[in-house]
Amino acid sequence: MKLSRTSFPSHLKELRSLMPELLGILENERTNNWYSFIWLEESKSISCMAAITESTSEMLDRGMVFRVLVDGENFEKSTNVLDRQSLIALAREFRIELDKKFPTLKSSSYQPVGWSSEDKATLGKDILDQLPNNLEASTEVHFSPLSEGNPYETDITTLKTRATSLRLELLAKSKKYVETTPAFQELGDIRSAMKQMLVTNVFVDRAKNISQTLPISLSYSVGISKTGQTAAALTGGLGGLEITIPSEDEKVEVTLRPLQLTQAKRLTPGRYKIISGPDVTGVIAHEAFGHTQEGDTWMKGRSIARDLHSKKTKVGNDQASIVNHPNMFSMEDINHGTNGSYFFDHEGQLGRPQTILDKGFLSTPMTDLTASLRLDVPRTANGKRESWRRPLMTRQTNTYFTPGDKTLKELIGMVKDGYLARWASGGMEDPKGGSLTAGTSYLEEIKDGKLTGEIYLGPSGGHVELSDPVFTLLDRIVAKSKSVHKDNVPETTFGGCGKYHKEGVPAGCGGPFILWDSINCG
Amino acid sequence: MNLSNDLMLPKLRAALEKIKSQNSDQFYAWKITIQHYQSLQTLMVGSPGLDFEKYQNREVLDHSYQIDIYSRHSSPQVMGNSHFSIDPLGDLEAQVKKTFSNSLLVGNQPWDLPKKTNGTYEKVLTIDPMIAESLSFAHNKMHEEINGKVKTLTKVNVNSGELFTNLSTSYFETSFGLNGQKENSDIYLEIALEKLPLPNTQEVLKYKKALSIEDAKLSKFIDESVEETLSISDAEIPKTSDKIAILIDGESISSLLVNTLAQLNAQREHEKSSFMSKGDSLLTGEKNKDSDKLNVTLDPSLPVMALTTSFTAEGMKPVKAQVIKDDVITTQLIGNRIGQYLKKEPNFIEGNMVVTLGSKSKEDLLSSVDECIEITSFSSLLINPNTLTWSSEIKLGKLYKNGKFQHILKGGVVSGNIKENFTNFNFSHDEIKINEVSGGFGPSKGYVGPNNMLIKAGVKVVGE
Repeated sequence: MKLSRTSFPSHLKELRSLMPELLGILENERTNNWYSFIWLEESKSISCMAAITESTSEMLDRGMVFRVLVDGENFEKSTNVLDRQSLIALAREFRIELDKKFPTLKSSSYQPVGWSSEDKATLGKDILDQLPNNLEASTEVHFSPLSEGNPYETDITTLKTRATSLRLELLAKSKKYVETTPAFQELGDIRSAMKQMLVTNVFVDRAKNISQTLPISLSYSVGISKTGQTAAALTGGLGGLEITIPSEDEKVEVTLRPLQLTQAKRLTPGRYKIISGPDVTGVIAHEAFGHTQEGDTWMKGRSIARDLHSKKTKVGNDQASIVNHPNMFSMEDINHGTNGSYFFDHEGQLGRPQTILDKGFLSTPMTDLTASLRLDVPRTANGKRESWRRPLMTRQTNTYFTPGDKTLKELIGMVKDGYLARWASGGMEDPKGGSLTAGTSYLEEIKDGKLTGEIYLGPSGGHVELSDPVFTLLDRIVAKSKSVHKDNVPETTFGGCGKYHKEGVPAGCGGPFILWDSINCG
Repeated sequence: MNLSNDLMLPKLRAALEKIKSQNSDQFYAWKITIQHYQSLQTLMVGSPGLDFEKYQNREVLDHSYQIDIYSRHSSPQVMGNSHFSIDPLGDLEAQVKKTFSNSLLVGNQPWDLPKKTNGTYEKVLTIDPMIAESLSFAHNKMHEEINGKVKTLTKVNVNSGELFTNLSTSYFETSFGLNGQKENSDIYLEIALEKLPLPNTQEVLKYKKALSIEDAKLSKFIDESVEETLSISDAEIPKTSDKIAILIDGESISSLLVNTLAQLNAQREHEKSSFMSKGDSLLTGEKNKDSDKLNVTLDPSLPVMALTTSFTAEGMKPVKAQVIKDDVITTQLIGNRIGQYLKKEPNFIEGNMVVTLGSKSKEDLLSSVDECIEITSFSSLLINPNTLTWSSEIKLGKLYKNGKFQHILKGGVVSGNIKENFTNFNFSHDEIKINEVSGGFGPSKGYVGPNNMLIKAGVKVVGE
């Protein structure tokens, strides 16, 4: 089917046309003193659940943020009361407050980068293809990824039909496993959910007027045993419903794995050779030097990376390379990005990939505008917020380890005694202390270079935590699997991230299969 | 603020009634929810001896409308329900029609929505009057208190902080005449500290969550955080063991119990997940004679606590009850809908957890075992509500032998099984109150109970 890009939604045109006027109210005659932008975000989602208890819902969340940066301090007012009169009144009230607080200023304000100053050589094709000619500050530029059909035309009936059909197929499949294996008891339920979310952002400052529509579609199924063991599969990312079809492997994961987990052995705590799959590899990348390389964490003195970067300390072996890639719209052999991809961040900075760890050496950090100014380091497209209700911070987009030169089969062949960890189950970092933990739902045993078919839960019967000091871990990469992608972008999975324990944002995590010489598992 | 006077409410009600009358054979009922939320948010960065510098100041106004429509359709009859967030700038009737249409896609077993409550809603205190009076005054007052403490600190640096002061009001009404309004205030303070002189590689990250300024006790919280930061010395990795005792704090106890009590929710029985019901023992394995026993009561009426409420999500009056007595489940938590599904009498039990205290001090607990790891902070305590297992890396811990501090621990993984943990444990006799208003990744929780728990069974540590 022909791929096309989603145009700017017509129902937001009136609000968009009001945004330059609001910007004028905030900063006219004070552009030498402060820098302002207006941010509009809309998230429309339709979802349904096929399960013992069914449901459907349609959610809309639309809000606007007024941001003013004065003398190194950010002030914001945000609201979802979006009628013209209320917005103009809020902007005027904000301006009066600022004029009163800062009647005169000695320092000059940050000046935004206009189209003529953008380094177009470093922008990706997906961005360049959508830039019109003769760009001016007031030119309305819209970005969206390629997808089949128009995601705005997806209806909830289609989602419900697909979810119900998928659940019935999975239940039948699971029942067959139960019929052929006496040790298995029928699953309690299989729940299948379908969701499509359309996120539209508009950013307006004195240098740019840009928008993006990001269609995010996913199918999620989970098999639940009556004793509480679960196994899930999530299929989707940035695109239309065409990217939500679960693979056969994913169907087996939901239907057979929870049955197997009821019979699984428990791991003896200890150090083991581990091969991590893209899902787990991604969590390690995200936690290892992802969070540690977030500019606001540097800015607050909460990351060891600033010191390590300035001293040019090597923190991993030559295979330890990690990339953060905002404008990632294809990967491995897959023609779409993940939910961590966008064209520009929540401060209007256009996305460009950044190698944040290069063969064991740290780069300058990922940044939002404030961190970039305070640290005096290059700005990157990592300013994100959970929603218009929440503060903006430096956040990761898609974080992955770079690929290597082996196949998965070759990697397994290199393991005499160890485990394969394919399905991630959370993770956490300590940017100051330099340790990390990455969870995996279970481990698959490898003996003498072959998978034995045995699976292991953690020592207490839950998931398995993989944990080590980051330096130790990154020095123990033995080999990595290779990629077939033309730009060497490995598979990156749908994901989310909370900074410490809150502020949830989309974040893709990925990479190749990696063989680690030894990881503490418990 | 009285949301029953909201100008949109009669319009929404009229649109719902119109579509209901046009589809009277299938349109069963509706519910309207209005939410009004205001928040002041300040992010700060610190340098030794200086003001706690504000670098982000935010003001949030969130006013939103949601509807739920319930339909009865098909043969044999099933019940549909659909949730919709209203676009106040859009066509209301079209949105109601869409929601009704979406509900027809759902085919759940029918149940009757409540037409009257099980008693008059009780007045409860869930708001700090000072925050209700002036959000900005209350927020600035707390910031001044925090800044006043932070800039005088000489032995630690507070690297960063976040202060959120929130005020929310929500109102609901149903087509069967039930309606109610509740208000909540809440405060969130986060500070990250490290010992001076810089640089070092150990940080203490602490959170304070409360519903009122009085309960937040911010100065005391900062003092305690400083004390903890100063207690840190060089750390070692814990030794691998499958018989170690650990001491956890009230925050972790409450997290273990929230997940344990989730299994009492009768909805899990209906949905064929793992669950516990009346008469079930909480334990797996033999109870140790020296162990305390677990007793938990749910109370929805405690003043200024996170799960204090006048009405449940179904619009019923919440009921206080003991749910675990001496490690045995005394009742499931049964709401209107699930009660009908399972043919069990609904009891509408919900509320804050009140846990019976133990008899020993923290020091006595530490000296009651040969060796114990006090977990000062987990990196990320992940608890599986289905299997009741948990695990985390140790972000910071302290090793004790016969009650005497040995050294700081860091790293390694600790895991456990809640049902085994309760076979041999002791609570401390000091009480703590914990409130968690939803907004992070965990559910809301309100907890009044022991501040420490010594767990002597079902814990494994992997380290050196």
